[in-house]
Amino acid sequence: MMSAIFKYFRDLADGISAIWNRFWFGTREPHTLGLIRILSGLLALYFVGSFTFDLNTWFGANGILPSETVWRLTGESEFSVGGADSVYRWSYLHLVDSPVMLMVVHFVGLLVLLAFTLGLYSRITNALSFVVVVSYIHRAPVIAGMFEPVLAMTLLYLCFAPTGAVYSLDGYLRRRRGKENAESSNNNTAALSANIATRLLQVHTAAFVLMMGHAKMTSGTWAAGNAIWWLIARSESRLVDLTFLYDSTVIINMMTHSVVAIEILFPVLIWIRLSKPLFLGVTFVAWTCLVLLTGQVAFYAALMVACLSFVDPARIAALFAKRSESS
Amino acid sequence: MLSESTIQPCLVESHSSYSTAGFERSKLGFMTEDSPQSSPGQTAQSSSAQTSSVWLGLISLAIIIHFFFVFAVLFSASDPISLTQVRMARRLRPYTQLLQLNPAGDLGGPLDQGDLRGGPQYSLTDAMELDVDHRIEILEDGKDENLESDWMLVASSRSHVSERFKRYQRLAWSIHYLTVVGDNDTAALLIRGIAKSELEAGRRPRFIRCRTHVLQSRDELELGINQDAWDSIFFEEVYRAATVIDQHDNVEINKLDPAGQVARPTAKAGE
Repeated sequence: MMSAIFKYFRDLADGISAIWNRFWFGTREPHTLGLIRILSGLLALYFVGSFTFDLNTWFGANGILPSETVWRLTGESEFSVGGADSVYRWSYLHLVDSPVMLMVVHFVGLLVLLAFTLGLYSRITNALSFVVVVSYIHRAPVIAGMFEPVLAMTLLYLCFAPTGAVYSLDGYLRRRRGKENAESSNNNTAALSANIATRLLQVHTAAFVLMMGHAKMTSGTWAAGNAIWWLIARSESRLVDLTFLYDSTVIINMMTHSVVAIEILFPVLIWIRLSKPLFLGVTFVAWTCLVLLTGQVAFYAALMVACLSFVDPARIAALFAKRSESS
Repeated sequence: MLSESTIQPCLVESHSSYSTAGFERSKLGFMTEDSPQSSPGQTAQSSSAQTSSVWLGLISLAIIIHFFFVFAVLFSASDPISLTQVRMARRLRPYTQLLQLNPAGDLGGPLDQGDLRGGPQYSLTDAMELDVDHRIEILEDGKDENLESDWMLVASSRSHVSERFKRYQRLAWSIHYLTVVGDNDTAALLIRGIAKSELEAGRRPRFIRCRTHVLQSRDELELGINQDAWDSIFFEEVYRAATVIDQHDNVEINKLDPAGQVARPTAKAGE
């Protein structure tokens, strides 16, 4: 009897171990991550670039959020964190508040993000891009929205991957130097780190979507089926006016419950081969509708970019190959 | 240091079960379309394999710890949560906040003071409590406070879709939130910042107010009344302050109660 129990647990451990290793420690082509690098780089450029004309307004000594105000809001102090209720938000932007220095630091940050987007010294610029983006978020957490956590998460995980292996200036320069011909760069770039980074991104994205679904389920407006009307009725945020649906209770309830259902099912169905393409499509359509209702363009764009991690690198490579052939 | 060349020798599986064109496919039905091209296991050998398995073990441990932290804080982001979740998420916060992996601010109820630390929208979900459009408006010196057209929306020139505009909406949300939880001093600190930045831009604000844009009611639309969402009845003032600016451009903020009376001095320049 005992030996049967031991055998069961040994088999269980072996099975889990095999699944775990297969999931995390294979190799993977970096084409999907290369595309995600470009798109998340553009989003990061937009995020940081959108501060360009407001640097002094937000971060200046006479701005809305000087460091002292942020420390008071977050419970931190300039030199110490670690109290019972402290938070841990680092930012190099706390070190500068003069208009000139702010502008200099800002443009250096933008250059880093541009280099990352283009895939130049991508290993270094990827890590630096994460530092730049998080510094802006931590400098003013009061004005951070839903977009920032998704962008920061994507940039963090890309740091572990060879994102500059394809679709990058790094790759172009390598080919020009003759160290690598075009054929080998396309066919022999599979890497363990690309797989680990992809998996980290996939699991965290699925967790984000599950959290969104869970938050909706526990919220009165979503559980009662009225949340879509709530979004429709926000006159200043919405991109389209659907108030003519005011008497369509069934449609509003169905739309609300569908969004919740999609976000709850996403973390399950996205892992199943047959349902994945369909579910990715359904999710993208649902989020595009939410963009129109909420005006949260950057947030849903960042989520969709993170969701691209579920797309097979072969499909991305084929897509780019087709485009280059046709051009 | 861990390098791919250290690990990969033990990861090269026999590819006989995989197919074509540089991108192999696993034959398993589950989790396959994006399965890695090679998997560990049955492969190599000897000392390099043993070294690699140590590294794989360490990486596995790091992944498990990392996601334990991430999941613990992510699922503390919406009510209701247990006291254990609150305590655990607080303990793990040094790690998750350092990496901005925790969109949650503090871990109390939706109107807990600490929520501001992570920004207003910590659960990545719209249509939550207080989740209506907010706006900050100023009235310059010499303008009539009873004339709606004299009030100026801060950042009105920016596209409402842009992050530049949405940051002001979130700031207004924060001021509203601080007022709800009774932290008028911190709200005044933010209002003073707005006054100072307006001064920098060459405008002298006499009053600053924060208003919410109330949602249209389906019942009223059905009855055919209050159909214009931009009518003044749809705006609710949640905060108003008078600004006192001296000749050195020092700013003092006096919160006004709904009747327009000075509540009490709340923030002075140089505090």
